[in-house]
Amino acid sequence: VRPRVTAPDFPAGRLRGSSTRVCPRWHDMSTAVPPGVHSIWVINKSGGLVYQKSYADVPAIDTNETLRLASIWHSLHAISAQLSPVEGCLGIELLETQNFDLRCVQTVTGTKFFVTASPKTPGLANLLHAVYDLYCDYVMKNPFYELEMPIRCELFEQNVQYAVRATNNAFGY
Amino acid sequence: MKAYTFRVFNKTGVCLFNHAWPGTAHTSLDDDTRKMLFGSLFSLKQFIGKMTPFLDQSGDGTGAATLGGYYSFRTNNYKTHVHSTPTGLLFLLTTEPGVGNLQDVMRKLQLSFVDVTAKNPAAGGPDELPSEVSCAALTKSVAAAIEAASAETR
Repeated sequence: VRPRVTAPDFPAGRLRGSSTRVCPRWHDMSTAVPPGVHSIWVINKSGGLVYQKSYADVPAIDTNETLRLASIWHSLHAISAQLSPVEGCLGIELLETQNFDLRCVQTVTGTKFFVTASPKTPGLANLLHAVYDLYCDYVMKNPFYELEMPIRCELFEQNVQYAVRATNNAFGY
Repeated sequence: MKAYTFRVFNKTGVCLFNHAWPGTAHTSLDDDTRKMLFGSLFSLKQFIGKMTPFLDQSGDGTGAATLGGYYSFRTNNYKTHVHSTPTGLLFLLTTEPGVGNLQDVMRKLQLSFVDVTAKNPAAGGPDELPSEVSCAALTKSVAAAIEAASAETR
């Protein structure tokens, strides 16, 4: 006698439709946003993309498109400082939209680190500072790394992965 | 809550309304600045559309459906709230960086603007600037709305 095949057991929470972010309802599947950190981007001082990696189940962006988006962000960051209604603006630090947050940190040398994540994800500024430290250790101090070029340092990528995982775990994602 | 400027743009980039509170460095909007501001907001909208982390189901590629009409960005010394309508009207409010989500306030401001333009039988079409009287009325209601919002948060 063959065992009866049953539908997978859903925990009760899913069927009762809890918050869209964590347990999407079936008709919301097309608009579900993965929780936690989505991707990390590093832009050099001239606006060229040197690092971009996704850490969640987000639609992949074509490489040329990522280069274009990075330079668009670089210009927007500069323009936001120019258009400031008060003096002393240093550029966009946080962009909050309906479906994702973008947190950006610019170093004194002009390198920009930004992370996209689901809305209200905590710990993004700390994550970016950790990535900056990793950049200093594994990229800048790497004698084979050519300045302003795309980053191909395995230890950097590995450690950024650990940092992202730690950020997600610290807040239960 | 300290506000700096409130501006309304139509879909071609014409600035239909511009109000600046005292304390703002550049109150008037000269042509180059207007074009830079509108262009950067247009690029930002496309940027958000492309960076949104799920597939855009609306199909038109502009990311309009994913925007939800309201987004905000913050720098170290100001925060801009952007509310857009399906007709392409753009409502921009810049405030101090500490304020939270002003979606309701933006909606109220949009309703005030609609009262003065769409509901006004003497007003011109969507591309025309509101008359002086309308501007004065709108300025008053905008100032009142922001005052009300500050009083709530205080």
